[in-house]
Amino acid sequence: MTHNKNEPLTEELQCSDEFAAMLLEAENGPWIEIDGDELVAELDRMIAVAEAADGKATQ
Amino acid sequence: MAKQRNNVPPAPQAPVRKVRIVGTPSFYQTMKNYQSNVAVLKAFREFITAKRNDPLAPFGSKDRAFTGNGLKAYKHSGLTFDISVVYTLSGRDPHVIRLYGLFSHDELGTGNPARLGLQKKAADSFDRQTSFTPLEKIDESNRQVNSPLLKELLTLL
Repeated sequence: MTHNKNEPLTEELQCSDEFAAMLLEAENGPWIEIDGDELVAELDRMIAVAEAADGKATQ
Repeated sequence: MAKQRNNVPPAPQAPVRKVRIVGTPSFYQTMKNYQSNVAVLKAFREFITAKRNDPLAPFGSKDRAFTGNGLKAYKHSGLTFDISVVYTLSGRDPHVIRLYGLFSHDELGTGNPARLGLQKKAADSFDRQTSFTPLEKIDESNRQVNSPLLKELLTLL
């Protein structure tokens, strides 16, 4: 099924062969466990840094 | 269970780790690609929060499995118009979310017909995976709690 980039994502998608191969390779690991609280805290930090950078860029 | 003190509401239960999250090296790499993109970061944060609260509930209206033979175990959830997070959900109590990364439509290659053989191979490999074995066992006794409020609440238990 082809995807029209001008339309919002409302339909299920197929991926490319290359992407499917990447997923296959990723299954071999390694898998690194992430603490959920730390992940959220890190995302908050990244958001703050990115917003600060955006603020400086618009000055 | 903590005894209720006068004029102090009973402390809520500490959050149960019903969801465990693991990431591939590619996930961390893709995170770096979007470290300056506020919209993507915020949407991904919402995704993580939502899945931790209710891993079975779809995230928004764009949380679907891939079509095509053999990749139905892989899900993609739209974060912004162009960027999606690819993940799988397995296990129960705890649920396990495997994060493969953040990808654009171009990177996903959506719209290109995928050869059945390769997707079937991917599916076979996925099916052979054993149950999740964490690389690092979470030691709850030494868990660092950064939230002052949560620290206070945990002392009441």
